[in-house]
Amino acid sequence: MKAFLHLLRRELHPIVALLIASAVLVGLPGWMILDRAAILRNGAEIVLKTAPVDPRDFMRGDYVQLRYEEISGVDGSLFEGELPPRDRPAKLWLTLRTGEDGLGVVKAVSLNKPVDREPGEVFLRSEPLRLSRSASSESVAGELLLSFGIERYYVPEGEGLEIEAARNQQRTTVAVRISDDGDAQIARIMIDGKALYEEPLY
Amino acid sequence: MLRRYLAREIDQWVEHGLLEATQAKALLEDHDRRHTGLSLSSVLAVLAAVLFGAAVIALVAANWEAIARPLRVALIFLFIIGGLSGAALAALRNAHWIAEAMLVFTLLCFGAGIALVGQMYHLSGDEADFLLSWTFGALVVSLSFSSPLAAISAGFLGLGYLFSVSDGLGMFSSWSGPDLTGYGLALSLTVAVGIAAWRSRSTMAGHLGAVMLLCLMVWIFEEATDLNPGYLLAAIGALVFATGSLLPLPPDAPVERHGTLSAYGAVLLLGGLGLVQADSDIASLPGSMAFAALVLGTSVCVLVVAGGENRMIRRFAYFAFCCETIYIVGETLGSLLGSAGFLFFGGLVLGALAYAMMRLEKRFKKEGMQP
Repeated sequence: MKAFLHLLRRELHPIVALLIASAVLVGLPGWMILDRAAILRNGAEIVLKTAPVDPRDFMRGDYVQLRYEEISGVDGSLFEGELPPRDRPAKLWLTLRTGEDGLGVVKAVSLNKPVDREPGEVFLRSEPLRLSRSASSESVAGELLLSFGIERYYVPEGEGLEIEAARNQQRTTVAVRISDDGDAQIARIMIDGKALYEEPLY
Repeated sequence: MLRRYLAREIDQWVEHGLLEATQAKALLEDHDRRHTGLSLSSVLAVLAAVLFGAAVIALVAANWEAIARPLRVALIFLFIIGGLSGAALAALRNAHWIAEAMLVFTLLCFGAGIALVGQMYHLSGDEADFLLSWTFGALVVSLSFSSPLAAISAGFLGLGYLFSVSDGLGMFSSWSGPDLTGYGLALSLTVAVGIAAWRSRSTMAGHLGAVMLLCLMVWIFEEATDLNPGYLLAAIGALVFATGSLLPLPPDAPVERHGTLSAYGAVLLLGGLGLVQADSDIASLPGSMAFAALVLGTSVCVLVVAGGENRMIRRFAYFAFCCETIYIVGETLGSLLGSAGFLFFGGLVLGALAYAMMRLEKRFKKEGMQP
């Protein structure tokens, strides 16, 4: 015990400490950036229509709050397969495909990643959600309010208003790229189909 | 604080002829030489580092649009690596407080960097995610450089994370049910803060780690049961106090008898009982009196066991005893007598209490005088 406590206190050489700390402190934000770039580069693209946002949530700081018509609120009846063992937070998988108007629609929701992928389908993973099943039946009750980490878009100060106005008239669409792991990143913001912001990789 | 206390005591000894004035001076000088802990210059160096860190963030934020995105990231990385290199250089030259100041600067840049990267690349994430990353960075810095200030930062950031991820320790959360992954993560953070505190010999960080552990337990308790967390705190307190004060400890044990561990135990035990009492819905007078008697009895027990050895425990137990007495006086006399009678009896009881305390203190002093 004493030897162990002593070992815990052994000081590192400052240069070693420098190398370790630099690797982590630069590596963590660096990894965030690279991970996002990889999704933008290799991910499957799907275009989503935005939904109006409650005016109280509008601009927080200088980002636009985005809600998506199809995926932010999903009907619980689309849920397929087994439910989580208890009422505990779980990530859900959405099966999306592009509809005739070029916009993504939700085909199904499930707890596990779907195995079979039909051509044109994309799997999107949500942030953890606490599912409450309806009291009697083995189904999911009500609307599932989901988020995916693509609900914010930071803009230069004052420029968000146009997107917001268009979003509330439902003219704003967002192209997202989705990786094989179901993580999504925003690639383009469009108004009336014309790209307003195109995200560079880095 | 210790120095002021020591200087005062030494003055007393000189006055009573126990010490020569020259000896007194030598003693204080010796103390100052060995405890260079927090000198004014080191405090100023850390404050300067904080200002520099803030300046960097303001500079980058102000010229936001003018700087290309990859360049902004490169700048942030440059500041981080620069801060760490400065710390390593200072450590090589044994300038520990300069190193500490550099590390504080680095951690500020890192926190700002995480926030800016999230913003620049539209990575959604809540405060909990942000605080988690920041805590992690502070832990890595503290562990690698054995830095006390980074350990303290990690403690504060970790507490912030704990509160934000648990919706105020589960007290404001509509959800009640266990979240095992969340608990596991919070526990590993707490243990890591403890290790960082041990490595860097920071008492303050150690206390923060202990507070994190308690918050974590309250969080789990709050979500897993419908009971008042006071019960949990009192139970832990009793256990910890018994360990610190009653258990026969080996002479080389890392905890001191009647030391910090006992003090934590006493505060938790009495605080927990107080929480239960404040929240209790025992309607009957005899019931609430029985509980009040339990609290009084507990504070006396704590006093008798460890009060003579530990000033902090003694003061806290007195405090609890007095609060409890005032509570009893308020509950009983207030309902039986008019307000004049209430005040009279209240005064009488407090007077008697003061007398009893004086007797107790005298006994402790006598015991203290024995060889």
